[in-house]
Amino acid sequence: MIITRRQARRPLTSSSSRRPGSLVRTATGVVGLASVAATVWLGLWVTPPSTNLGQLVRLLYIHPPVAWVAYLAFGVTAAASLLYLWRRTRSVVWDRLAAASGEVGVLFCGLTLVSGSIWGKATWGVWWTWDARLTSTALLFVLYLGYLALRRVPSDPGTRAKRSAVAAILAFADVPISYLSVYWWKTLHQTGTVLNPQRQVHVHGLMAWTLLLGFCAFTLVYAWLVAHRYAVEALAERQQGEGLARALAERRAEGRAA
Amino acid sequence: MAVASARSRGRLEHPRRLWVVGVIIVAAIGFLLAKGLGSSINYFETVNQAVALRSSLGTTTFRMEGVVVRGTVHQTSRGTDFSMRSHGVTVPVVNTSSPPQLFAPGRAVVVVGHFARGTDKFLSNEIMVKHSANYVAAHPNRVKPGANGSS
Amino acid sequence: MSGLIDAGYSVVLVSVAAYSAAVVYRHRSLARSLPPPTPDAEPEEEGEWQ
Repeated sequence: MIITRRQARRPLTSSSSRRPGSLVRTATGVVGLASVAATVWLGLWVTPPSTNLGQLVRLLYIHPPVAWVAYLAFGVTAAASLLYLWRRTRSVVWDRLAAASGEVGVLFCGLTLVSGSIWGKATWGVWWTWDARLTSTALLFVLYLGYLALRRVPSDPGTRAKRSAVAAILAFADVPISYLSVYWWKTLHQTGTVLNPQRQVHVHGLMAWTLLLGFCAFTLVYAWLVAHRYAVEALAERQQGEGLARALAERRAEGRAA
Repeated sequence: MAVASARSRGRLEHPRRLWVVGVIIVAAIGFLLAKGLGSSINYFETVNQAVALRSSLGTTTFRMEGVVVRGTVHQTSRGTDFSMRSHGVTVPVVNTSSPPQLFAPGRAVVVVGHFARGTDKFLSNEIMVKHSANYVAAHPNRVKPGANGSS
Repeated sequence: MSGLIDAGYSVVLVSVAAYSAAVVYRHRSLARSLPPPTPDAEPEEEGEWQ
């Protein structure tokens, strides 16, 4: 067997993926995938239809968990941003975590809007309506899309990190507004199924367990995605650093040649 | 780390693209804030609120919420007529759209439309079915499935 | 109407799967293109940067 340089190097690089942290990450991914599969199986085939929604109840096991992950992700972004801004805890770790969680949050917020729109068409009869919950969630999506765009504005990394941290914290103000909108204002959207302030869940047996599983499943997938996205952020920073060192070396070589 | 401008740039990092993206996002935030502070704060009037505001509402279009009164749903050539009730106040609705799948007597609905001039009727061209966050397993043996639907 | 339910499940699962694949692929290719962060591995990897 001919071992090329690239193949020979592979064990070297993949040895980093055998660290305990990576094992936890892989385990999270595997358990997350399995629980998403179980949620889908229970949600589509095993759980009974409900009295008021019939078969249309089935998006219950997907839409609220996805929405919860969006809130959670933006919460992690805001918390990491606070830790970055606070001098005693300032570290590039928090900036990377905020970036990683923010991107995953935008994905899940977008999926909250899409799955909600589909569920709305099936149950309410409309794809969209401008009630407070829908409007504030759409705003949340655009605010964090803006956060991701702001992160792309070329600037000194320290400045960028501070600027994005402030933006992430400001944008987070819309999370409690979106969550509490169904209690503060009259909306078409129903009130919170699980995370309601009364802490009362009106979901029957297996349906409730499937919903709980859905929450756990998508939270695990979120954690796994953020772990990978964080590693990408860290590696991209290193690549930029090395690219810069190479550019400087080339510039110096050009200078010598001239 | 100090000089970021020398780093390789992705597609979005082109200055002009960033400007376009920035303008679109700021415009979208402004639009959503206007929508939120406009139509979202008072998304609907309940039937009793609408009747109380009858003179000031005139024939302006708004959303009205109430429960579909049992025994009042009639199919017409143009759509479905029914009565809506909230807090003891009832208003007859003349609707010219096909109701959603879950539309049924006893359920809470939001209708879009306006009061007809000179009558107590509400003319609607859109029905949205409201439902609560109670998810109760349907029992096949129950006499009346959906009897405790949202109210 | 249950076609809408299937569509809701599909759009969520497909999007999350596609994003996951993109992130894992990016992670793998970056990890492969960059040498492991050991000081003595640096000089001989210079050749990788064409």
